[in-house]
Amino acid sequence: MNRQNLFFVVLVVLLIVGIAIFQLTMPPTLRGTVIEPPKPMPNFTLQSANGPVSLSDFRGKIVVLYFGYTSCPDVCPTTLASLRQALNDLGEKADEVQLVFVAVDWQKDTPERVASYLDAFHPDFVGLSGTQEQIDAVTKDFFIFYQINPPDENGYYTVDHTATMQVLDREGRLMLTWPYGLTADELLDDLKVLVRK
Amino acid sequence: MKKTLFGFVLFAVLLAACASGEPMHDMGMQHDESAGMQMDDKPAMSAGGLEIYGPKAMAGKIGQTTGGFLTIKNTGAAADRLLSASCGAAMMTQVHETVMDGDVMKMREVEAIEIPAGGMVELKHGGYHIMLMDLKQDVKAGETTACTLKFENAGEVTVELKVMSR
Repeated sequence: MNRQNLFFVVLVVLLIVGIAIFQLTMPPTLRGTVIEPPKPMPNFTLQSANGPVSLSDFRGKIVVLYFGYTSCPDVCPTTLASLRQALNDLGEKADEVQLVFVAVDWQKDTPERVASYLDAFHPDFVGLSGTQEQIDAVTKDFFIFYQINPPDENGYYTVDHTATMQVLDREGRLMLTWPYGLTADELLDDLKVLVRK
Repeated sequence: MKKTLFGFVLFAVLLAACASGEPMHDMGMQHDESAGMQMDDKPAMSAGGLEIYGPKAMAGKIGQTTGGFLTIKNTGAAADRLLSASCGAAMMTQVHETVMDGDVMKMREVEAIEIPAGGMVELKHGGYHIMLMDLKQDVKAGETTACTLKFENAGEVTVELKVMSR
């Protein structure tokens, strides 16, 4: 091998190694909004159909926290169905991810009602309810806006609420938020990165 | 010497391939799942110049609230307005619109939805939808559930909504 060839080979190798190092050290791009550094979040305990559940029960798992209400026919089911699809596509690793749904409609959403609602989506989804004081405290801690609107003449009402999903890391720190409207594939892309950590 | 060099190049290429594999896997092959409501070839129902396509509802259990979705096409020369809806399976039916105010999801009952002459309105996720509130009975996937839509000009039009699993 002559000197010129050797020089060329070395150049190619350096280039490839350079690209490799760049790829490995660059944090992968996520679809959601990354919270850097991850923010430690307060614990809470609310009621599930199977008894009280605390956020800290899920340490070691990645928790996807979503606030909604069971009379929500549109945005909530779309979000939950997208996440279910993403978890199904994630395969075995889906065991490391826990969805926790907090029902903000404390007037109507009993633990049983929430469980029955979530059951239609995924058997492993956990649904939680609380008193007005508890829901007010948790939503405040997690920067969630909600408002139960005045009922109409027949007693029916809607609830406005932040439709963002929040992702907590294995130590319970807020590390990512997903805006409403991401597709199952986009959620899956992020989940693949999250479970590798 | 030559062999070692070759081995090193191979190693480097493999390393680069591994590293770039994951983050770049979806470049250029984005498949779009948000293509919106599937347009059936034939309208499920037509009356008074209006054609209704793809009527569907999401499954729900007794006491729950669920959504109904469809597309209304106006082939007539005059605009029409959807004034209300009534579904036999629900204690109460309302027509709602979902509005995103920043990150906050809001649903509001709408007075009427105008379908312009020659135009089309989609009742779909994230927009207008029929609210089947406080279901009197389980509405199961695979079945159909009837709703009557009341229009200003076309009058009452009954459509069968195909129930989809959640």
